[in-house]
Amino acid sequence: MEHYLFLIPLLPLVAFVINLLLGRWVVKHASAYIAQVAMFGSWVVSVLVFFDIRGSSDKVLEQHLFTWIPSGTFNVPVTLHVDQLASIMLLVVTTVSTLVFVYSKGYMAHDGGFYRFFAYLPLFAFSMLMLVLANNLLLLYVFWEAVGLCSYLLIGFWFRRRSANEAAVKAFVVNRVGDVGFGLGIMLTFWTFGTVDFYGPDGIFAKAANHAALGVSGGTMTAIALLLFLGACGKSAQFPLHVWLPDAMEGPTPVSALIHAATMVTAGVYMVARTHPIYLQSESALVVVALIGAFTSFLAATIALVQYDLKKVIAYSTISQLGYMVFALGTGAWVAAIFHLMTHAFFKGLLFLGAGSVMHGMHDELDMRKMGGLRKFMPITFWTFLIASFANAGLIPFAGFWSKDEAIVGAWASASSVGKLAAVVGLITAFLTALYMFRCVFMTFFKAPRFNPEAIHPHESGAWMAVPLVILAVPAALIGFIGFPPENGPFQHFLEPVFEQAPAQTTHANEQASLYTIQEPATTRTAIAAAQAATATETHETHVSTATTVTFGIISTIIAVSGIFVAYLTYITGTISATAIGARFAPLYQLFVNKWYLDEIYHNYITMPFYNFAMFLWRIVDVKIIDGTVNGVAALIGAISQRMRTVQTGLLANYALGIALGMVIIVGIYLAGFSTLFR
Amino acid sequence: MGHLGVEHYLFLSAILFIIGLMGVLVRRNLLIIFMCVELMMTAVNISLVAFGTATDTLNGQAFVVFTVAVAAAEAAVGLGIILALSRRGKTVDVDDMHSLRD
Amino acid sequence: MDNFPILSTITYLPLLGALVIFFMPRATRETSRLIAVVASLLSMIASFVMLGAFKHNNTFQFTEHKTWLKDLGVSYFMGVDGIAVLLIVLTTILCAISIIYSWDTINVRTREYYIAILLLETGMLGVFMSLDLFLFYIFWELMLIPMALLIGIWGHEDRVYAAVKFFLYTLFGSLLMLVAIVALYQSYYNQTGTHTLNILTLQGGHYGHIFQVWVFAAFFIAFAVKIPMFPVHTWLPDAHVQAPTAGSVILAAVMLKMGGYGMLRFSLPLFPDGTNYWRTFVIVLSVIAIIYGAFLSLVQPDWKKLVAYSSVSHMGFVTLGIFIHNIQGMDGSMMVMLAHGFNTGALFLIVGIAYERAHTLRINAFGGLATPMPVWSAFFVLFMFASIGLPGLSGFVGEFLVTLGTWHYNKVAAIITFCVVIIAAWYLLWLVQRVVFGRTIHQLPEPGDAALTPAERAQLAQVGDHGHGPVPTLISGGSHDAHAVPAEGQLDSTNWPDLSLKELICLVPLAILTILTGVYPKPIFDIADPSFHAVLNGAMRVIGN
Repeated sequence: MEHYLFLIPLLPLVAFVINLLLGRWVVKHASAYIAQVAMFGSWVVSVLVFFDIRGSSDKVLEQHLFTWIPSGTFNVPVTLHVDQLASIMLLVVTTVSTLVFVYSKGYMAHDGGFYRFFAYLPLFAFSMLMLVLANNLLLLYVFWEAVGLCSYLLIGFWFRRRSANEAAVKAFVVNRVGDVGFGLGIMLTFWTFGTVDFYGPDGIFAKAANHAALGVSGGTMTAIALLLFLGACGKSAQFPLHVWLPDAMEGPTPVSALIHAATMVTAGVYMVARTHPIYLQSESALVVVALIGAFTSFLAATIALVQYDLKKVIAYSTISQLGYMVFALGTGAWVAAIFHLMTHAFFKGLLFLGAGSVMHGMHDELDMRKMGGLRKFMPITFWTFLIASFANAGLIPFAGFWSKDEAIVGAWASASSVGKLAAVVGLITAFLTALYMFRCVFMTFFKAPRFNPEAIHPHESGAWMAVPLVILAVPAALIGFIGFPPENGPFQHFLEPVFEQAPAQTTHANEQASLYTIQEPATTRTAIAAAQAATATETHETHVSTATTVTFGIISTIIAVSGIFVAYLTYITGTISATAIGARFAPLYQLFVNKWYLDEIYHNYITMPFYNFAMFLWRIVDVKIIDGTVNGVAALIGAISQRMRTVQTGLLANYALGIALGMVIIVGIYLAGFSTLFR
Repeated sequence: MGHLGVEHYLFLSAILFIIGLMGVLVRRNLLIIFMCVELMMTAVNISLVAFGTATDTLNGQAFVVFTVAVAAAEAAVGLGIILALSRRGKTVDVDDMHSLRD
Repeated sequence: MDNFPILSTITYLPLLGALVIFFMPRATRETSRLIAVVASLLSMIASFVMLGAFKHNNTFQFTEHKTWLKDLGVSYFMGVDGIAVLLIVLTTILCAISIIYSWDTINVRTREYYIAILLLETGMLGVFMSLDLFLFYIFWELMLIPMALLIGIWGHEDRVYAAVKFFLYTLFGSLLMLVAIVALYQSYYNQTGTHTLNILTLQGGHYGHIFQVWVFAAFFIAFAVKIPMFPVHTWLPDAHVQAPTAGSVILAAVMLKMGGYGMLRFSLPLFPDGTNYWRTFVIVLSVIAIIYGAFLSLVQPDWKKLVAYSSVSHMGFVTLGIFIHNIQGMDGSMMVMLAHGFNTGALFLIVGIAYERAHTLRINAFGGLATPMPVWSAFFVLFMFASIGLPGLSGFVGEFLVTLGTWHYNKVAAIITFCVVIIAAWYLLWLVQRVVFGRTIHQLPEPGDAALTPAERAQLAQVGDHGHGPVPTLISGGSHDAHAVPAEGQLDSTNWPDLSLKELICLVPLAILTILTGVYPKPIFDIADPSFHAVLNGAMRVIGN
């Protein structure tokens, strides 16, 4: 299988090149088929790779393509690397991509930029797959930025909309802030460890585990971890860099589903999971990660509560769910984070596709206040959307329940000092999630229509769009069972080799082992067992008992059901008045509606000062001071010359007198100074 | 006195030179100025001949032959220019000739 | 092949072309441009041959050594190493493209124009090849005059001011360099009793600390003006804005590299002590230039000025990379030089193409050009991303390597430098947003646009029920309406043609190059690295780290 890895990214790349160069003139509407076939081929290879990997417990596939940058000791190869984690990501990315490609054929059918759309989408798929396959930090970074490029192109796809352009620029620039952190993290990594490769005896992971022996301080490890995490914050839309994602909804809905829900935004989570050996070396970095994740999940959920734009609600929901993944990472629940990443990709992709179907049927209407009663008009969309909403709300037995619960339990049971806090925030957010999700479902699909039935005739979408919805509904409902029984399912066992700790040799061994063993209560390897033996009591504490798991399962089910019930009371029966509550808690309501005022704060305190400073540099420093000096010197010389110029009277007599006097003076000096005539 | 020394010739030459110089400086008529320049030239010639005689060589005289030849050429060209100027500008007053100044 | 004077061939082919045009009686516009294109293309092909025959080591190759003025120690000495060979190829490619671009854009004094541009090419090529200071200085000054003429005769409104400013600035620098050359010559004579201007021989001399500090400074000012470094950069925006498109391309893509090349060829090897003395100062100036150029680009209302200031920012990476003294920095600065040549050269072509249609450079005169000119827009977006350092395109490799090297030297400098990529993204994306995206003046606002002004909403309502109709055709330019109100100052771009064949011929090679060097830059490292190691070893002797 190893020799065919390159096919996974290559197929979408070929589709991109064909559609970009020929799409406008030759391929035209066939561009969709080219993209779909390429993506499907990529999916097939990914599935084959998955089964190959599953064959033995710690199998890793690698394919070296070429050396990219060889600069002194800074050597960056382009090498594809597939382990269990990458294999899961490949499956998720190719599956969702293929379905979204199919869906887009229907959704974009009448768009003038059809071929362009089907050029950008494979480019994205290529970049995302390369990101997953990267075997070193810099290659990861390259495609990290490349998916950002695709995101930019696709958000601004309808380029005549000013709002879309602004959103695209905002997304790219905000992501760049994160990318700077990531890039600096790579530099620090290189100068610390002398390499950017992940694996191998000289890879950064092996060296990170031994950092004390290499004379690398814990502070450096924390710095690396935090710099990398800044990148993850940008890409995975974590506070304070989450502001771009809601605006990114300006892009076509398939893009929102694929890029801004299922795949690209999870790149940050993937990156932290991939580099977890570094994070394990720095408890303070993990605490920061956990806190940011927990706070983001809560912040986004509160904003989602008060939005009326269907896509914005789902976008904030995405941010919130990404927060779950991130705090799971921060508390060492790596597998839970990836598990949630996978289930989230399916159900959130489905939610967006459903929202797109609603938009399609409603003539691009997005305001939920102008919907209602759509259940009757578009049954397929309704049922699939409902399944996805159950999954997002975390209702048993839908996919979201298992993964979300695992993240919360993992946080609660972890040795991390903020684990319990994160778990509690997770539970509170779970209530909000159920509430806003079903607010959304009830407002959109239930009660009487609030739109003008004369003008708008909602209709179910065609087969190109409906079939992907139905297909995606299956994993959204059922994929959670691959993580059953909790903490100990086939999914967890499959990922074990990736997250197993190298033999701990550092002074932090105990704490690392305990952080780690959350994920592997039963089946530990010898090295871990040794570490555990040394800290038997601690291990005991962090062992997740079945009782804990079941308790949390019950608690979160109750929370989800009560959230749905409150939504029912508010939006179906009207027992609770949303307006009254909004009026009662006006300051809070205003805070949420205005998205915690973060956009305004950024605009007033970052963007404008920078812009004004630039203006000052140009108008004052450059034009007045620097160029003023240059032109001033020129003007001074000019002025002196003007004065000197009057000497040239043009009168012959004056010149002659000048000559005569000059001669007299010269001869005089000679006679006085050098001649012996008068001595 | 009785004997004419080189200094007498030099005095004559100096006086002639100064007269010529003054003429160049104060007169306005280009023709007069030109003649004064010729006068200065003559002054130089006199001192050259005087030096030549005093040092008992022929160097001075030889020089004079050259300067006279050059002066003749100069007179030809100079007078030609003056003639051309007077035809063009209807004047030979140097104060009126400043078209190159501005 | 061994004895074939390939370097002279490359250098003098353009000169030959210029002479043919000059002496050909009644050379018309048609014949002279044909001769110019052929001469530059031949020179380019010859440079490819040279690149192919170049061996990957640190010696000077294809050397031509003829005694010239024996008593003065002046010789005709040419040769290239891995640094020069890349820049020569860059020069020939960009000159050929500029000359092709001028095909139908220059309509006055065409004969003189092509003579000037060919002379310029000869001058630039000669600079990269000379290994004798006398020869070097001749070529250095040779390229000055044609460039000033290009700006001053074929430029835009304020061309004479810009040309004079360019000329005086550069001349000021090169006269200081002349003094330094004489001082160096004398100093070497005092040491050895030999008169020579051979750079390689001069490197063997031992110059005192004070001497090195001063002579380095004189050379440095000459190069800094050319690069241009903060604060001697103010000629660049004026020159770029006023120069004709081809002039801007050559100026940005090739001439700015003279400074970087000069530092690598003279400053570092000849004056290690002086380099060491001024090193911190230069690095600080470079970092300032990087930030300063980026900030100034942000607020420019003039398109060419924006690109010009971004050049200041990019060239700051070059000096930074050269003076941090590690191989990553050196490799990075070479990559930045090449990438800047491709990208900024292409951006100036892009601007020039738009200027041909609009006859203005005000950014707010443009808008929605993606509709009438989609292919042009695609190229613009490509080079824009290459310029902001998107990985996979040429700009990234150099900037990242320079910053990586800087991190080793000083973390704070690296952090400040790298943060500039945010501002770079900001100003260039904003530029593209204003120029390429949005709508043309005859297009109606998009109903789905969330950022409509009240006036636009009113306009939509007036036109009809677009807000409630079927899904509007978003891109295909369907809603073309005479009622549309033009935006403030925006020109009517409806009938602007997309890229012509000539314009495609100019842009496609650059696009291929920028993608190639971004994806597979290894050959460049293979060629340049041995020479960089040689330069570094010399510099490291003194610094000793």
